[in-house]
Amino acid sequence: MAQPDRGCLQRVKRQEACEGGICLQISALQKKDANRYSCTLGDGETTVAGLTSSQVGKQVEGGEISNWNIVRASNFTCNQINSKHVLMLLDCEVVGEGQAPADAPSTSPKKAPAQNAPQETPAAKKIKMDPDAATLANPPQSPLKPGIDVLPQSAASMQVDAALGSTDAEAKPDAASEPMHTVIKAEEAQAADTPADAPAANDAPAPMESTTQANTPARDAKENRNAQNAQVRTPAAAVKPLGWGSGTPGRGGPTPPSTGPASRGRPVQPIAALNPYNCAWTIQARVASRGNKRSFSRAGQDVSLFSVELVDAQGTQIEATLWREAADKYYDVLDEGKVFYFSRGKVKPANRNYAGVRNDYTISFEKDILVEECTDADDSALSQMQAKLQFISIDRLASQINKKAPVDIIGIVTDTGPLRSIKRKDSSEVAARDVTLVDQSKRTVSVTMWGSAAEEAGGDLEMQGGTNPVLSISCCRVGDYNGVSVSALQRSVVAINPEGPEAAELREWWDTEGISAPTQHAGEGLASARKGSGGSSKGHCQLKDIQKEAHELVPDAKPEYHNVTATVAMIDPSQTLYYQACPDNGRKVVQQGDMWLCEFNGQLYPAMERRYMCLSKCADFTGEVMISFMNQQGDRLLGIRADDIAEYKEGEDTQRYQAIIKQAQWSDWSLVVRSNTSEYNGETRQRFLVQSLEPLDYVKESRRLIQQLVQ
Amino acid sequence: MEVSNAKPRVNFSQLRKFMGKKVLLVGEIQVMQNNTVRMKAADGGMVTVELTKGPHFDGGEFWEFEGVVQSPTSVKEESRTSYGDRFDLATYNEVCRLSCDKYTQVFL
Repeated sequence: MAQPDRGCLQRVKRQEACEGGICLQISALQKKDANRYSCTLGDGETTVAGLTSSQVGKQVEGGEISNWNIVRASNFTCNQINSKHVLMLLDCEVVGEGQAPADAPSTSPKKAPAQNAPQETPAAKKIKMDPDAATLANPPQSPLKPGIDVLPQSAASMQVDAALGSTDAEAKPDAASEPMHTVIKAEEAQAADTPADAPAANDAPAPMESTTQANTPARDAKENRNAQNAQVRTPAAAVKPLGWGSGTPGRGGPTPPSTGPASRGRPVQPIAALNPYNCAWTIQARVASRGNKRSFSRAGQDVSLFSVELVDAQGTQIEATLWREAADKYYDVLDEGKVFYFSRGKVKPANRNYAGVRNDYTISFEKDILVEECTDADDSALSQMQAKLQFISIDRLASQINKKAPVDIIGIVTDTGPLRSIKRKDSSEVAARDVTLVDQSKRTVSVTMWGSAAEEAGGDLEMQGGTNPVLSISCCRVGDYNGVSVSALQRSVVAINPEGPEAAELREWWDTEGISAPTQHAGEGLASARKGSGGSSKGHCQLKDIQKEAHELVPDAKPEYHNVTATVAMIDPSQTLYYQACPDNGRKVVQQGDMWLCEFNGQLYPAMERRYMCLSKCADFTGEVMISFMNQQGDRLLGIRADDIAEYKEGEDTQRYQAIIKQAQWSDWSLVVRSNTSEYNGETRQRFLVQSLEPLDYVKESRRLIQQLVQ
Repeated sequence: MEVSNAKPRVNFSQLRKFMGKKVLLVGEIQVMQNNTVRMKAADGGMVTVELTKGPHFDGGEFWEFEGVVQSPTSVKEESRTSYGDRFDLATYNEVCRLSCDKYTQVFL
């Protein structure tokens, strides 16, 4: 590679003779007038301001000479003007395409005026103007070889930047943030292509060739790579990707070795190596699944986003979310199954609450995302990009109930339910289908698939009818409906008769013994299964059942509902019994003079109504529990409205009051009790509230009991 | 419960097992005739009850008779209790069955 003659400028400045001309790197070319350019000439040690003659100027104009080229000046003069040296280039020829060194900015501070645009050739212009350059197809006019997956804009921006002679971030072409991408990419590529370089190749690399002129069509990939390195200096100061990218395990790992222009062996890290502290990485991953694009508004603005699940050749998964511009731009691009290079995302700790992908981290991509389709990954790498599924046997599903982490399951399909439609809270409809799976543990479980999986995969299963295929589903949630139930998620991957040892084993087991083995539902015998089967989720309990042990109490867990038959054993007459409530919303009101102020909505009311807040001890043959009766439930229990009972309670007629209370005691009721676990003053307790109550229907109750006896 | 004085609850079909013994029989009165009533027992069989406490039956259709089994179809009354007019014979039938079959030890 041509290099400038180091130290020659020193000699030139001293007016010493230089044989055979000197090699200098030219940069910061700026048109001064008709055919003369000012520039900066560097020899690798120092720089000097330069001026071209008309002849050389023509060369620059014609595109023969451009920034960072190494030129051999055969005829030149060096004068001092105002104590500054100026080297006048009279005659020079390009001997090499250079590369901007890392510390170039200091030597090329000037912003480029628009006049330098003519340096671009029409072809380059075409590329630059290509509005769809963000997509991954190479434009036909590209001087690049096909099969090179280079963002065409990178070529363009690189060209423009080169032409403009500036490596500043400001010198961006109209493609908004593309140059930034190319910068990083360039660096990665540089690392890839200069294995000889030390990892910290940022500082003063040997000048490399640059293809800035599109009129030299036959450039190979390597040169192209290097051309992009024209902007090694990045606006993002903290980047030092080369150290990471080159020579580290990630580099050689998943990508095939460089065999030619088509497979460059980009420096790619394994997803497993991602962490929040390193911001310049590139991963090569397949889009395992893509979530739907959704949007919400915040502060008056609409924010759109979608998530994808990425998996790399090591089988590591990670979730990535694309926001706003990135979401809009790439939603249609990131099709499931395709492989891309991803860069410039933010690695953040994952929020485990959202049943996330099995990774401690998640990636967040915003405007400056860099996505590049990978067309050169060979099949072996591609086939490895499968999330490693860790199957759990059906009998062990019970241990995973309501856990956040998703599970993968595999089993033989014994029954496929019909396609049904569920109405969601927001009135949108979604397709659902249940299938029953069985595995070697001789347990069955019902798996619900949603959306397209229900329709397509489920449809396939329905058609296959009696063949009992093997079904594997990744990322399912385990619930406690019917004891144990499994539900697929949006991003679950459903596979019928998949490859792999587990599927083969299942098939074999089924064919030999499984087909006739007696099976049991995975949820049988579980406490939660008793609550109901195939119908309501409320079964009948005894008071003992609705109380939990202290160590089982989970604060702020979902409230649970139980049916119990109990006797209201005791109502303490001395308790408050009721509170002063707002007629509209039932909240507490405070008396203010003649009016009542509702603290919730701040309104004044002329009158308040009392509402029950009655705590009573309920008992059955298994135990006793304090349960509270509010509002209408209190009305029914005591048989009198709160306002009326207040008259007796607060008035003189305490006997009447006592009588009412007494009458309610020892009454039998069929109750629906809601239990809440909450923390108060450091203590976690269960609170019970009567949701509804009915007088005990003895016939019904007897029948129920007989049922229990007969079974 | 007094075991020596056990009075099993029976249905029509069980009467023959308790010949000459004291039983509790619950049924719905169908026909009243002088000193006897015919009533439908919980399992549907018609039982004749010989009255000894008078022919007055106030308070409903369902009665429980305590008496001695005379024959597989009749009982001689010793006392009676009104069960009102709402009584679920089917459930009671089950109870009888269970108490005589599976859970005899609980009752006797």
